Formats: sequence, structure tokens, C-alpha cells
Amino acid sequence: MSSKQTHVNVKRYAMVVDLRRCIGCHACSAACKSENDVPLGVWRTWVKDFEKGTYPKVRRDFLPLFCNNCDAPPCVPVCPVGATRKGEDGIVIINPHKCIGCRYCMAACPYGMRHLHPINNVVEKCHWCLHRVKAGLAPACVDVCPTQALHFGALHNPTDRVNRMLIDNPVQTLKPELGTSPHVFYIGLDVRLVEGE
Amino acid sequence: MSGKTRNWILLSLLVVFTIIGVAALVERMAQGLILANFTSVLPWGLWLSLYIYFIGLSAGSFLLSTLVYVFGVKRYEPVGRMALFQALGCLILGLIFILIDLGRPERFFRTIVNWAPSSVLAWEIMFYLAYIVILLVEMWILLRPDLIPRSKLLQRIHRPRRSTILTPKEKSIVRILAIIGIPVAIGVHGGTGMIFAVVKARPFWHTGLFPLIFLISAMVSGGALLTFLTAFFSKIEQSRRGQIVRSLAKLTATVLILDIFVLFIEVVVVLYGDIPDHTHPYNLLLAGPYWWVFWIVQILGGSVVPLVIIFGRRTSDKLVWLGGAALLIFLGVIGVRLNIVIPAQQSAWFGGGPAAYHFLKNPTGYFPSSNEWLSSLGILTLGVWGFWFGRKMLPLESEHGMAETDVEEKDNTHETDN
Repeated sequence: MSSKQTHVNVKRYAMVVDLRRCIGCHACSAACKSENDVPLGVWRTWVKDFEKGTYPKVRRDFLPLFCNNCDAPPCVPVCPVGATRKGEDGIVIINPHKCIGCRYCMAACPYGMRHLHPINNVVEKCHWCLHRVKAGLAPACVDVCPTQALHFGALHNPTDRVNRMLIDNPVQTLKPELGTSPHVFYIGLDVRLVEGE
Repeated sequence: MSGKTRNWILLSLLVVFTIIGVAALVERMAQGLILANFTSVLPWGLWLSLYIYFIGLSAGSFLLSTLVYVFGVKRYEPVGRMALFQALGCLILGLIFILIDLGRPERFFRTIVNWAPSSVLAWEIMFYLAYIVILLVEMWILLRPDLIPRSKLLQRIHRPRRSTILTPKEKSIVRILAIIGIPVAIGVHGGTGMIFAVVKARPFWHTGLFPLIFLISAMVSGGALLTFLTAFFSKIEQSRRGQIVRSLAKLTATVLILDIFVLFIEVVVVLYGDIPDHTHPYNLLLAGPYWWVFWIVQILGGSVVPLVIIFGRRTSDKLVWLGGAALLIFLGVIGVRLNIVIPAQQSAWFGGGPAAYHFLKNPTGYFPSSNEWLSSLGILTLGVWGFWFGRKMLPLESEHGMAETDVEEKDNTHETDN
């Protein structure tokens, strides 16, 4: 789990989130909204915060959430019209011209990462700013993170920094037990952040 | 108040509801899903619940009709056509509900053009199509002998028939269609259960029992509707009608007990296992904000009271009581459907509990919006109109059926029941 073995000739991107660095500023959420024109009332990425301990020994922890762009995405096979699919670079995308808005994929996503566009009435999701990735840039949330808690890179490039981070650090994914093989890896993920309260 | 005044009041109420409901439907089509109270966490609501409710009613009614057309149970012969008509009407209502539930209803044809075989929902569409064809052909062959003498138009385009009795060939066609219809109807509603059962993201749905629960409660609702309609709206003569209603009510009640039993198994297994992801939706179901949908609508009103009436010594042979009990069961299944759809989504366990959605306004506290209620009302009134016209225009209660034969030809159906 800790290090994803990927063939060099198969494109696969990954995100590494260093939770020890996250200060909960929500800059990633805001950058995503502006980069992707995400309408009011819905979000593609957000930060969960969690208070631990009792006064005076307290601490606030944060968990930024993005689409995991799973290797085995449960949202893809359920689409009745094949509007959503995993692209060649491993990023799950939606064809807005095909989507009928049945929201089956929203029900099927274990991470609740999809939303309905309130005006176009089709489902949308975080695609790690695919348009930027194709242009050789990092996603907007990664670029804007003031503490460099977010990292984005190519698993298929052995010299990429994310490969080094995945080797050097114990990492965790969300709901690994579902076998979806998520590609957002968290360093320093606290069990209390992922367990419900 | 005389019966005539009462009828006029009911009719004008229906007209008012229809106007309001159709206006709500028009508004929903114009403005889109923004009118509904869905959230990113809880994408399926009242419309989807009513969709599975009506699809279940349809499949249940069809399976009841096969008692007549496949298994040759003579006792139910007079209500066989009604069961088929119910199956067709409820299927259409269910499809309207799923249509307005789509974000882009105008793209519904894509489910056929861009058919994606990996999706259970896509397979369901195929099942619905096959099912609607079987229903229409079966009804056409059954009703044709009685329909032709009634309609001038049909007399002009259809070649004349000698008698109003089905020929042996027609009977075998009906029988074969009904036999093919059994797996298709099971696919229609068991498959609707599969839509939910394959979703591993919601542990509440992710159980092999789900298609089974769907099918059993479909039989319950279909039987209850047929009992209710036969008890109150049928023109079959009194003693025969009483016999049918009593027998149908007992049948429905027996399946209802099986339904409760399967639910009981599931609840015990889940609560015993006590896995948080799995227990949480059940806690919401049993003691959440909508506890009353489970305890009052589904258990008390939809199961306990009707069972007491149907098996009670004083009430078990009174038509009005049995019809009322059937109505209660019929309404209680709405609660069953809501309980399937809503609590599973209210327990948003994605990557860290409901608190993960602090920025969303009330992410899991779903209550249908006014447009959701009113447009549902509109579709229901369309159903009432459909029933009214169908009963007026179609020979749904003719005595001609599978068991009846011409004098000279021998009856080859097995008659085990009289």
C-alpha cells in the first residue's frame, strides 16, 4: 500500500498530502472553486477539521479531501450511459454532454466526492485540474497551498518527488478496505479523523 | 350528503390537485433539480423512493397475474386483467418518477443509445423495455375479444372476430408471455434492488438480501393494491368479490409476514455485528429523526394493524375492513421504500463522519422540498386519472378469461382450484 508500483509506460498520477503541514486555511478549497468555476453551494474539495482532547490539552487537526481518482473507481461502472470513465492518465473524468444526471455515481462514491451542478444538472467532480496537468502544471489546490502540504506528481516518472515521498514516509489512504485503491496518499493521518464521531 | 355530491367534491379535489401537481411538474422541468432538497451527500430522495415503490407495485401486480395466466388459479380469474392493468399503470408512473428524478430528463434516450453494460441501471432499462412490451402484448391479446365489439375504430381496422372467447392459440400465447414475464418481472424489481445492493459505498444497501427484500415487498404492495381496488372499486358480484378479497388479503398478509421476517434477520445480523458503518444507518432508521417512518408508517400502520385486521376473528370476513387493511399495507410500503433510500444516505461516513460536511447547509438532514411533494402529487393524480379512464374504457372485469372455453373445445388448463 505504501508505495504504488506502476509501470513506467503507464501514466499514473498521485497526490501526497502531508497532514503534519496542513494549517486548515482552506486555500485549496477556494483555489479549486475559482479554477474550476464551481458554483455556489457545492464543493469539489474541502477541509475537514476535528478537535481532539479536552481543555486545556487540545489540538485541532485537518483533513483536506480530494477525489481519490481510484484505480478501481466504484463510481465508473455504475454509470448507465458510460458518461464517466477513467482516463489514460488514471484520472476519473465525466463527459458533461453524456451525463443524464441520475446521480447513481454520487450514491456509489465511498468518499462523497461528486456533486450535481445546480444549473447544468449534470454531475461534476474533482479531476485534479486535468487541463492544468495536461499543460504540465500542478492542480490549483497544490499550487496555492501556502505550507506545501499538498504534493502532486507522476508515479510513472521514477524521479518524481512523490515517488520519493511515498518511499520515505508511512502513508495511508481513505477506506482502503473497500479495495478501491485510492491515489491520494496521506502522511500522518489520524484514526480519529477518519472515524465518525 | 348524497353519493352524487360526494363524487363531485372528490372530482373537483382531484382536478385541483392535478392542476397544482402539473404546475409543479412544469416548474421542475423549467428550473431543474435546484428545486429539490438533494445534497452532494444525499443525492437520492423522495422521487427515487417513489420510483422504486411504483416499479415494485408493477412487478408485484404482474407476478400476481401469473397466478391466473401461468398457474391457472381459477379463483383469481376475475381480477387477472386488473392485476395486469395495475402492472402497466404503475410501471408508467414509476418511469415518470425516474424521468423527473434525472438531472437531464431530455437525455433519457442515452440510456439506450449509450447503453453501458457494466451498470445495473443500464440493464434495468433493458428489463423495463422488455417488460413493457410483454405487458402490452399480453393485455392486447387478453382484452382484444372484448375490446373489438366496444370500439367502432377497432372494428374498422381489425378483422372481425367470431366470438368474445379466447382461442386456444391465444391462450397459449398469453401463457407463454406470462411465463417469459416471470423472470423479466423478477429482473425488473430484483434488479432495482441490485441497483442498491451493488453500492459498496453504503453498507446499508450492500447486502445480498436487498434484491430479495425488494421482491418480497413488491409482492406485498402489489397484492395490497389489488385487494384494495377489488374491495372498493370492483363490479364483481358481492359473494364472489368477498371470496377473492378474503383470499387475496390472506395471501398478501402471508407475504407481508415473510417480508418482516427477512427485515428482522437483516436488523439482527447488523446490530449483532455492530460495525459502525453498518450500524449507524440502522440506528438512524430505528431511532433517528425519521424513526416514525419506520415505527409508525412501516411497522404499526403498514404491518401490525393490517395483520390484526386480516387475521382478526371479527374483521377477517368483512370486505370494508379487509379493503382498509390492504390500503394500510399499500401505504405502509411507501414507508418501506423511504426507509430503504433515506437512512442509508443520511449516514454520511465519507472520510470522517458527518462533521466532514460542516460547510454544507444541513448535508444529511433531508426533507423533501415543496416542489418535490407537489410534483409527486401531480404524478399520483395522473395515476388516478389513468385508473379512472382505464376502468371506463377497457374491459378490465370481463368474465371471459383463460378458464372459459367454447362449448366444443376441451379445456386443457389444470383446474386444481375452484
